[in-house]
Amino acid sequence: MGLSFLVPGLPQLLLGRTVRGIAAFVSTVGLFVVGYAIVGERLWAFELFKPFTILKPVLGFLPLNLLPDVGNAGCSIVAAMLRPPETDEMERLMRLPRAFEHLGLTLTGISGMLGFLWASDAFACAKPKLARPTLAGTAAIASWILPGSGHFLVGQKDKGLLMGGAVLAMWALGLAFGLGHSVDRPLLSAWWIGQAGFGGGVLAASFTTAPLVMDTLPSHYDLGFHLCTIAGLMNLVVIVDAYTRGEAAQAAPAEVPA
Amino acid sequence: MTWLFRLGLYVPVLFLVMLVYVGQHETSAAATLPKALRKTVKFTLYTVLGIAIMLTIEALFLP
Repeated sequence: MGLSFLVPGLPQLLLGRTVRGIAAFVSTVGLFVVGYAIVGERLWAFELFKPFTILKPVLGFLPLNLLPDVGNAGCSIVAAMLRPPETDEMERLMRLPRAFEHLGLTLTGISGMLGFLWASDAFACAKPKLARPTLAGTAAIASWILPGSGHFLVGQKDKGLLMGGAVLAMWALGLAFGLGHSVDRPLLSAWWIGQAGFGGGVLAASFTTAPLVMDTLPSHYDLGFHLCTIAGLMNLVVIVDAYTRGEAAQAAPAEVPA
Repeated sequence: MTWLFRLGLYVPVLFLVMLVYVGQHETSAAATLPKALRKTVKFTLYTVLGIAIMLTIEALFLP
């Protein structure tokens, strides 16, 4: 699992799941590289906090304060190494908006979320003698993209509809109250960490609603981004449940004899 | 008026949260729905009680 954080897909390759390993590598490293190419050093403007002196050597190497991007630890470490020295000019450049930054920042963020999900997939795949070792990981990733879809894969369709529907309804309420501006990493970076729990939602928002110009502040803006963040956090619960049910389904129906 | 609107919104939002919270412990939607509804009512009552206590403290101690 730890290996998966550093080199996504390598554990799956070592376990003989070549296609899965390649998919994990491309979806995490590929998305991070594209995102970083778009935003460059601006990425460092979205650290959760500026590291104080005692933490600087650690966070300078592994930026744990860059969430959720650090889920793709290997790429985050490389990006931290490429980080230019902290000068006033660099601080100024970091704060300058970039073209397509919504998309770039979303790509680096979701590559981090995928880092966590592929690591949990590696953990499930590594369990010996199971009939369907990839089910738990697939269910988790499916739920992250579309809430409730993981439950369909593990055979709990009605519950998937109910839980997924609850997350989608909450997300839609949030977007409606924020007039589409509730999911916006450059503007609401700390809230976006929670919203990234719903991968399909943040990706769709980065293409559609996030780049829209906000002329006036929506009257229920705070309600909007709070509800979208709650939806993202609710989806984390749905993902964990789908993964757990997937683990049970992996073992229960047809355990391969030793 | 604003806080009344927010309190009115709070109940359906709480119900959506409870659907996901209760869903983890159940295996079907049929079992999840009634328990989520019961928990929503329970937590709404706790919330109203909490607000009433806060308003009472405000009325007693704040000029």
